Amino acid sequence: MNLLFLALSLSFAFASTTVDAAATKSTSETNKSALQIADARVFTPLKGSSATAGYAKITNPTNKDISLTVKTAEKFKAAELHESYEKDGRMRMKRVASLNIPANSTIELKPGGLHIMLFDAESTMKDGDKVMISFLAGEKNLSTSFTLVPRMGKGHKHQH
Amino acid sequence: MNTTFRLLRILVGSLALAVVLISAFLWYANRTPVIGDNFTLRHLDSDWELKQKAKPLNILYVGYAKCPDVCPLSLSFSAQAFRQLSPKEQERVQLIFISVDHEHDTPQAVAEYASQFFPAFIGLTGSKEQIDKAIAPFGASYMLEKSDSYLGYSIAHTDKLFFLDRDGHVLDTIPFPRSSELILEKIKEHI
Repeated sequence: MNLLFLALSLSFAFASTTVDAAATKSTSETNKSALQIADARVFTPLKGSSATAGYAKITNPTNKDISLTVKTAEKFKAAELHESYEKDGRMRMKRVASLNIPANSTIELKPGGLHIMLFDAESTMKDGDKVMISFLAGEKNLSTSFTLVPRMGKGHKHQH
Repeated sequence: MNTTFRLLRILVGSLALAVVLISAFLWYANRTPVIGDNFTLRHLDSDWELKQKAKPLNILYVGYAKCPDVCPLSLSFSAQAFRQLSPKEQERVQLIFISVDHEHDTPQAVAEYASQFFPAFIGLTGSKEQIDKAIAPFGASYMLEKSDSYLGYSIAHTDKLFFLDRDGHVLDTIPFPRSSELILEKIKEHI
């Protein structure tokens, strides 16, 4: 009986530790943003231009809206969120300080609309290179790797 | 009798004249206005005049090289259309990209920028006066807007492909070009 009690106690203690560990892991995970960024790509900078654009799909799986701000992009001097729009027959662009990602929804950064504008590449880049872009999502930091893709390449079909 | 005949001749002649005048007026009022004109800008280190360099079909697009989104989007779709042309068809058409960013885009940068979308794309720019004179006949326009971005400015601009004949006269347009299929269709129609 005492052995049984001891075995049960040890089992309980072990299980508690495991749950605590799991809780700790998920807690540290919740310290990171819950936003999910997919299809993250930046068009490889072209000669003659000091600016390029990045796009992605941003999903908020939580039940609360999350505000997203672009902070930095490695290998570029600056990164900002912008939006292209039409007004009075002209296409324009405005800077977006922060983007609200509504609860349980996906916002897409895509050509002709919302995009991350990247300025002044600090080195020559080529297709396939990775660029880490850092965001502030709510109060949490979020960094995502974006892949450089060509604007036009041999046999490349531009998809939008 | 002679008087009557004379009066009749005057009446018929007047009627005929009236018909001619009314027809001419209606033709003039309903004629399709000619839009577009010849222009000269800078390509690399030289002057580039449309009438001297024109192909049977010339496609004009106005933007600026630091535009990160809309301009490369339109040029990319255009390049995709060009790639679907036969070599003979490619000889008969060219795309001309005019950068209106006269303060920041050099002729060398614009030429290099345009050619990366498709080798035959011509990138032109010039002084403010040259650019304004070149694009005005097409109804194209632009406006520099100060901003708090890293770049400090952006340029609102016409987002349209103009299909021109050898004299720079507009044959057709595609506003907000977002389809290489439509661009290809228009090229084949006017080539």
